[in-house]
Amino acid sequence: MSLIEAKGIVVTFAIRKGLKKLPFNAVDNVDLEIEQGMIVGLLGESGSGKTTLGKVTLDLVKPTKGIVKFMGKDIRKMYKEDYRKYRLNAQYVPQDPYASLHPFKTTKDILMDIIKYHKLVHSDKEALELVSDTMIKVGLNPPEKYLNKYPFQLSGGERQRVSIARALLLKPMYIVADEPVTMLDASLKGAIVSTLKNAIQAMRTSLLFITHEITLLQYFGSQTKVLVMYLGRVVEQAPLGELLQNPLHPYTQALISAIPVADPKARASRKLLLRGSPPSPLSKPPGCPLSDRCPFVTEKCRKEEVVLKAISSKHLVACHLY
Amino acid sequence: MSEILLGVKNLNVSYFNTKVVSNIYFNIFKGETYALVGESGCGKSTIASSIMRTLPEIAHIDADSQILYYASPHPVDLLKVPEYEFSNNFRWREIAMVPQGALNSLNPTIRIKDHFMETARAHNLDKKEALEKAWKLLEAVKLDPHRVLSLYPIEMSGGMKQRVLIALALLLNPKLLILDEPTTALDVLTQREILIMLNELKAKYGLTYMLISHDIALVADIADRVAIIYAGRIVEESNVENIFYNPKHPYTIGLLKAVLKLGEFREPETIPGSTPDYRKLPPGCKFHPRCPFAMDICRREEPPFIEVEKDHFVSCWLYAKR
Repeated sequence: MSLIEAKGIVVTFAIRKGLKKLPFNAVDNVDLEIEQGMIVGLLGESGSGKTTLGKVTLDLVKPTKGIVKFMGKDIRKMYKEDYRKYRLNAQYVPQDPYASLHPFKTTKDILMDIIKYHKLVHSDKEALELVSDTMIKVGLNPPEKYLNKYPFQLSGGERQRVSIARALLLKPMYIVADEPVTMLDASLKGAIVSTLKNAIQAMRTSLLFITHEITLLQYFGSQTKVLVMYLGRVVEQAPLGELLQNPLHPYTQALISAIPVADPKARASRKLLLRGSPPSPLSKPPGCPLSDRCPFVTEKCRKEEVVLKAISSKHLVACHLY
Repeated sequence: MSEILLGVKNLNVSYFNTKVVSNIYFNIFKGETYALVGESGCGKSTIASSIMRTLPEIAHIDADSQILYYASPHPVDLLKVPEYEFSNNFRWREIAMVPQGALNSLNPTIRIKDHFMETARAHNLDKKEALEKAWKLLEAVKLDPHRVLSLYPIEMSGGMKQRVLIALALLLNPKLLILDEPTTALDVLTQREILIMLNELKAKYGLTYMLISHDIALVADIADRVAIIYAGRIVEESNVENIFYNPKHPYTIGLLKAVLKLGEFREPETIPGSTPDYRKLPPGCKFHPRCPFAMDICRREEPPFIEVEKDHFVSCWLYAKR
């Protein structure tokens, strides 16, 4: 049984234009399955719907269609007790460490409040112990140095560690990390990602890691399941090692060949396979969402919808070429 | 040997009594891309602001610092030129800058056309001439001038704003363009488009770039020569091949190990410790508290700048001949 299972998720947002409301699907018929202790990478550019999908699995955004199951139970049809358990077990690490911590609260307050709110322990002393333990786990060591500091006194990396500590405090079974390191220096990113990885692996927590940088997913190993999203659809799904060596979808190929690499000799191999930028979701082309930019486009792509097909047992792609 | 365009000699900058940039020497040759690399807070933006003379008033540049600009037959010390002359003859006419944070550098209340007009007015450029130039530049950065000139910043994507900023920087035909983190906050494919475009512009207008970035991968992609900066000092300088394939300074080695190349699966190696506090910098080499090879002398004396091979300079006691 999967820990989190999302089936046929459709999220429709609407843009107001004068008196008219123009609806569009930010997430369009996506399935996502995360087993206990598993790390899943969600890769996509801005506007691809990856954050929305992540929030749907946390019940922060209600899907227009589709169901989300937590340990086999539909979260909409759960008993109150079960729903509370789900809420406690599904946590979020937000993107921007500069905007997501309360500026008037010290690290201690930020972390203690959660424990107090959920009445996890009986005394302040126990709460403080729990907070200190978690802080050590995420590399805020020694905790005393940080407990009484306000967010503005912390560096970007330290803030993001507080954010991660906040998510880990409740020992959740599932964490969604939404671009947790985009705002940080390149040299710090690896350290924060591996902190997150080590902490969740010790607790057998599942992780949905949302990012636009494929190199960051490499820290989780070549077997990590990766979903590539484009305009609300999953276009390819494969283990990371396979995806890097044998990207099938033209969009994945374009993403991989466009990334700057820390190797001057690789310059010649870096190129731009896709021109232009993704169209507004309002003017999504019919058929394959990539059909207006794809170099291999055929008549079929412009007319027929594509569905995710299995090429091998673990490699799925949504493209008419295969 | 190519000609020098800009020579920074013994640049020292302090905020109040805290020295943040110390003893900086470097030359930028005509037509090259020179990169200043370092983590946030290392002083790289302060160096750029010193060249543009846009430092805040509390900043103090030492009297014997020199920034020589070699456009006219005789080099001009930009720090000694009166402000009136600097803004008339140098800022934007000779040296222009694409600021960091493309997403919020444009004035949200005026149209793109007015951004060009405002720049033209500030530099006494004829209105009609400026508009013609803006039209050409927008075409060069691959935007549709007819449409873009009448847009407000909010109506454009991040990539479009970055292109507008580049076009705006080129309005007065500068020779040196300072690029401060030109691709952060942009999507992978947009990043690649901007990088390809920057290379085209460089060839078309005979530009010289000074790149400021913390992203090693970006630097590997476009830089010709690289200076690694730590605690306001250049710790290593060489061409891009030497820096990436034959790094000498322990800090450079650490920076390179902290990022993964594409398709590389390993644990991140991070530099222990955190960036130093400028108010209490350690004696001797500023990197010694984080350096795995620290020796006695590193704790006492600041290392000299040593040429380890041709055009490859390192500031580290490990390479000093004693």
